[in-house]
Formats: sequence, structure tokens, C-alpha cells
Amino acid sequence: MKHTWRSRNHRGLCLALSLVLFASACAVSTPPPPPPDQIVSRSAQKLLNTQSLHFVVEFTGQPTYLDTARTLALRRVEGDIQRPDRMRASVKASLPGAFVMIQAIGIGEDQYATNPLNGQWQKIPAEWGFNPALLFESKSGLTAILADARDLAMLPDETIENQRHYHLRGQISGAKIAPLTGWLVGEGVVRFEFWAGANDLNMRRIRLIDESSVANAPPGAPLPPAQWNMDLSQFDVPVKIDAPQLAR
Amino acid sequence: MSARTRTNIQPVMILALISFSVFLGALDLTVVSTILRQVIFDLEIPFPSGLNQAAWIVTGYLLAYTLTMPVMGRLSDLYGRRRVFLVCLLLFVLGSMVVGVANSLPLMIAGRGLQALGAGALVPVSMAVIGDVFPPERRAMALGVLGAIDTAGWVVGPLYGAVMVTQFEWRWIFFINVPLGLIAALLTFVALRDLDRPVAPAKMDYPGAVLLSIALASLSIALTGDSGSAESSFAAANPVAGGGLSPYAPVLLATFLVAGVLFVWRETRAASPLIDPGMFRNVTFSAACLVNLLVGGALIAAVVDVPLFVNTVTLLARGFTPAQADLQSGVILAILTSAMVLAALVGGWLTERLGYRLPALFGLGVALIGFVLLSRWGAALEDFTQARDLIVCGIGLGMVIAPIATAVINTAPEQQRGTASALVLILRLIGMTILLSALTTWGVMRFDELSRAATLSQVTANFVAQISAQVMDEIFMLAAGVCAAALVPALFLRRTAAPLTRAVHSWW
Repeated sequence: MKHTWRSRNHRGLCLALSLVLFASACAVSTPPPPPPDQIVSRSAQKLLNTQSLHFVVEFTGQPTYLDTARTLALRRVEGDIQRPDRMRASVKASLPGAFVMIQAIGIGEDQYATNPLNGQWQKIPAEWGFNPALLFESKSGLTAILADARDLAMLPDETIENQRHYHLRGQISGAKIAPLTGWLVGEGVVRFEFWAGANDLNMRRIRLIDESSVANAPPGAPLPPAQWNMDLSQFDVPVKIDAPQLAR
Repeated sequence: MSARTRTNIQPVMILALISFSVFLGALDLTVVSTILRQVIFDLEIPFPSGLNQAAWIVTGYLLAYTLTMPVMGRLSDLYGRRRVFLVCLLLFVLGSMVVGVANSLPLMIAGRGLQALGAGALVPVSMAVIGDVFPPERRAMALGVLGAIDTAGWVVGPLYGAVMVTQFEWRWIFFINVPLGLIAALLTFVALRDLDRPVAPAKMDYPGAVLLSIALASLSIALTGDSGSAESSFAAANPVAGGGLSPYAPVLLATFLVAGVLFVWRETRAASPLIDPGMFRNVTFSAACLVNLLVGGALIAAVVDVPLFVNTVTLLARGFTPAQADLQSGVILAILTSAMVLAALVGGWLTERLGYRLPALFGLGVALIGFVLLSRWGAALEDFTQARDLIVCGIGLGMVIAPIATAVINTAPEQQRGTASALVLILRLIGMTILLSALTTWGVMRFDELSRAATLSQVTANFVAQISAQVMDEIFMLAAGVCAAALVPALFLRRTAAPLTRAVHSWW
């Protein structure tokens, strides 16, 4: 029996050791992430090569006003972009005491929007709308702006839609990004956070935090700085965006 | 009503204890009038395309309230007053919790419906309890007190809501129903402890109840306007336009007609019909019912659109904050409802002396003038003018309620007076439900038409206030038309009234 016990003990130890070695071999070894600036530049370059995407932007914190009277505040924008210069979006905005929905289509410099009261399509001045071609310009587009990002730092990875994403933060110049945001972001420092897929480096989420919005806020409005929370998806899924039928 | 049931608790005490529940349920019938704008904003329902759906916050309550009334009184005969009363209170409390936590319109509407299924039953079951515990010579007084408390609830509701939202978020108006409802349940448990057994067996007309529900629900949904394609439909010329009937309206209207005909056929054959069609053979009875239906429609136009008007105009054109606008609308509506209550007392007194027809005609005439005055409101309206016009309107509506309700109850056979009493409420609620859906649909359509006069750059707060005021002025004119239409059946009311106690008058 003594011999049997020793044999059993020896076999058990070998089995346990084998299991540990096997588990170690099977464990997914996470490669170290690239440097932050490389993640940003490669992800931006990938976006530059994207032909179409779907976006959702949620606005929180200090209100982002569409009008100089500071009555119409953006709440949510959802839409699609088709390169080179087509965009469509559903805009939810709030007035004091009411929400309104506006649809918008931009095709180059031709901009259209619906009347929030009755849904009629009307042509609007180019400066009221957004030309998505701006995003992809080599010198002033998103790639160029992100290339100038400062104070880049890695944050813990996060899982978005069951996929691991690199999470970074940094700062960019508000003056440079203002044209891409319809001049709704202030010209001071804009902090940003950035999520890119660890496997594909697709830029899936961007958060812009407009610090200057607090300085511009009316007194007694204790909200945090304006935040733009952008989710991007459906990369290179073709989208058909045509000019709308205008009201007669 | 049944023979008197022996109980160890004084009938007056029972009345006092169950009246608390009745008041609570009635409060929530009208409390949303002044908080509706805030609720719509918090649920992020877009203006104006979402208004047709948002109206269901009120319509859903009215519909469920109406449908539960004829059913629950009869169920309390089958299963015992206390049991059914407590179940109704539980439904009301549960519904209040759902409304309080609602973060979407469907959940809000579901919660309101659940509230109403409970609250709507409290009055008929309470009336049945009165029949159980009060001797015949004191029942009218007790019914009058119950009715006064019920009326007080929905009169106070709008102002209560407006005052509450100045201090708390609107959700607390519903959360507070939970402890209050539990207190009411405890009081009921004690008060009705001797009334927990089935009384004289009565058959429940379930098919009739189902057919009535289908008919009313189909009609209400049919009259609810199309919200337009709120989702991105970029190919359409008007992707977010609203107004006009839904594409399903023809099918729903056909459903209403079929279910309605089947309901009438069923009631002529049922052993214990929900509503005995035989009662309608009496001309005065039928005329009073029709007037009551139409008055309900005019009433809802006032109760919903007056605070909406005030809220919109003060917010957009007078620079009020949302909280100030809510309070202003509550105060303004309280002027209307207070005038109604006082005029109802006068109307009852006049009915005893002059019969049904003259007070009804007079009340309808004054209400018609009142609504015409309301239709002349514009965005630049003075508070004094508003108050004056609302007093006129309230006097008219209040004056007509007593004679037509009395006519219905008095002309019903004695053994059906309970049913007739419930019928007065039910018909008024049906009128309110149908007209609310129809007027909202029409209002959204008109708003859409008027708004097309402006380009995007011309859409300002003042412009929206102007066209909103115009649309509501037109709705008030339509309500005046409803009062005018009610004058016709009112002519058929018998001139003389049977003697009635003052208590019944004061209720209605």
C-alpha cells in the first residue's frame, strides 16, 4: 500500500504539473501595445482610407448651442458619411421645454435641413451645415489634427462590443478642430479620449471635452465641460445619400 | 344596490376611510394636465411630431379608467368588496411606481394605464359599499359626499401637480402614491373587514366587457394621428412631419363599428348586461346621455388645452422659466375648475326648481360663450382676460353637469340607478377620450399646416408661440361647436325634474 500511495501521489503531482504547463501554453499572451502616437496615427490613417461609416454623437455636460441666442442645444446626432463629401444625419436638439428633430443632408457645399416644425426639406446656407470632406483633408482633416496631439497617454484597455480596444487620452487644439465640429467647439484646449480596436485599429470611439465651454457658460450653471461622445461603426458599408426633395 | 350589510364600523367612518382612496385616484386623473410639458421633455419626445403619441399619457389613463368602471363594480359583487377594492389599490400603486420610473413613452403609458385600471374602479366599488352599509334614506347623501370628494380630487389635481413640480421632480408626484396607497389599503382593510364576502350572485358580462373594450380602444387608436416617420427616412419629402390619421385608421374604425354593434347586440341578450340598452328607450335618458358624452369632450378640451396653451405661450412668448410656466398653468386651470364646482352647486339648485332642460340649455349656452372667448386668446394675452374667460367657461360647464346627470339617474329604473350613476361617469369619460384623440390629431395637423408658412430661418420662439396659440384657439372654437351640438339633444330633456336630495346635485 505504501508503494501504491507513493505511486498515486507521484502520478497526481505529474498530472497537476502537466495541467499547469498546458494552461500556460494555452493562455493568450497579450502583445504589448504600440506607442500611443503610433496607435493614433495608424488609426487616423485607417480612417482616411475608409469609404463610409456610421456615427452617433451624444452631447453631455455644458450645452452645445446651435444658435447665438443659446436656445437650441444639440443632444444627439446620428448619421452616415459616404466619401468623398456626402453626409446625412438625424439631429435631436432641445429648446427650453421641448425637443425637436431635424434631418440634415450635406453633399459638398450643398446643405439641406428639415424645418423642425413640419419636416419640410429646405436648402440652407453652406455655413449652417457640415461638409464631411473636411474630415479627410490631408492638411486640416482629422489625421493632421491628431498628428499634432499632445500629452498622449495610454489608459487601461476596454472592451467594446466584445472586442478589446486601446484607450488613449491627449489634447488637441480647439482652433484646429473647430472647422470639423461646425465651429461648435471652442478654440481653447480640447482634451480627447480615443478608443481603437486592438485587432484592427479602427477608430471606434472618440470623446472630445471642450474645456472652454465652462468659461463661456452662464453663471450658476454647474455642469461639467461640454462632451462630444462619438461612436463610429459600419466601416465601408456602402450608403446611398441623395439630395432630398425640397418643399415647393 | 344590495340590502344593508351589518358591520361593526359606523357607515360614516367607512365612507371616510374609503373616500381617501377615491380622492387619491381622482387626483391622478388630472394631475398630468399641468406637468405634461415637463414629462414630454424628460422623455425626450420631439415636438411636434411626437405629440400624437404623447397624448396617450392622458388618453391611456382615460381609456383604462372608463373600461374598468363598469366591470369592477360587478366583480366586487362576485368576489367581495374588500378583496376587489384592495386589488384595485394595488394596481394603482403598482402603476404609480411604473410611471415614476418610466424612462420611455411606452412604459409611461403602460404605467398610466395600470394606474387607471385601479383608480377607475374605486368609485363604483365605493358606491357599491355605500349601498351595502347605508340605509336607503341616507344613501343619496353618502353618494353625494363620495361624489364631492371624487370631484374635489380631479379639481385639485392640476394645481397639486403644478405646485409639486416647483419643488420636486414630477416623478415624485407618482412615487408619493406608493406610501399613500399603502395607507389607503390599510384603511380599506380595516373599514371593509365585514364586506369581504360575495353578495347576491350576479353574472359578469365578460363578452360585453371585452367588446366594449375593443370598441373604445379601436376608436381611440384610430383617432390618434400618425406621428410621421420619426426615424430617418431621408427619401421622404417630409421625414418628420406629423398629423393626419394613421394608415391603420380605416381598419380600426371598422373594428370599432363591428365591436360596437356586437356590444349592443350582446347587451340586449345578456342576463346581466353591463349597460342595459332598454334604459335608452326613455327619450330624456338618451338625450341626457348624449349631452353628457358631448360635454365630456368639451371638458377635456378645456382641462388639457388650457394649461397647454398657458404653458406654451408663457414659455415661448413671455420668457417664463419652465417651472414658472407649469405653476402658472396650474393656477389658471384651478380658476376654471373652481368655477365649475361652484356652478355645479347652483346648477343642482336650479334643476330642483326649473327641471332639467332650462339649466342644461343655459349652462351649454354659457359654456359655448366661454369657449368662444377662449378662442380669441392670442399669444399676447393678459392674465385678467384669461381669468375672466375661464370663469365664464367654468360656470357654463359646471351648470350643465348637474341637470344632465340628474336626468340620467332619475329616469333610470330604480333597480338600475347604480348602473345609471356609473353610466354618467362612463359616458363623460368616453366623450373625453374620443375628443382628446380627435382634437390632438387635428391640432397637430393644423400646426403642421401653419408652420409651413415659415422658412427655417424664420422659425423663432415667437413664431412657434403664435401658431401654437392659433391652433389652440381653433381647438377652443371646436369645443364651442361641441357645446352648440349638445344644445340639440338638450332640447329633448323633460322640463320637470323628480325631487332629489341636494347631496346628489352637489356631486354632479
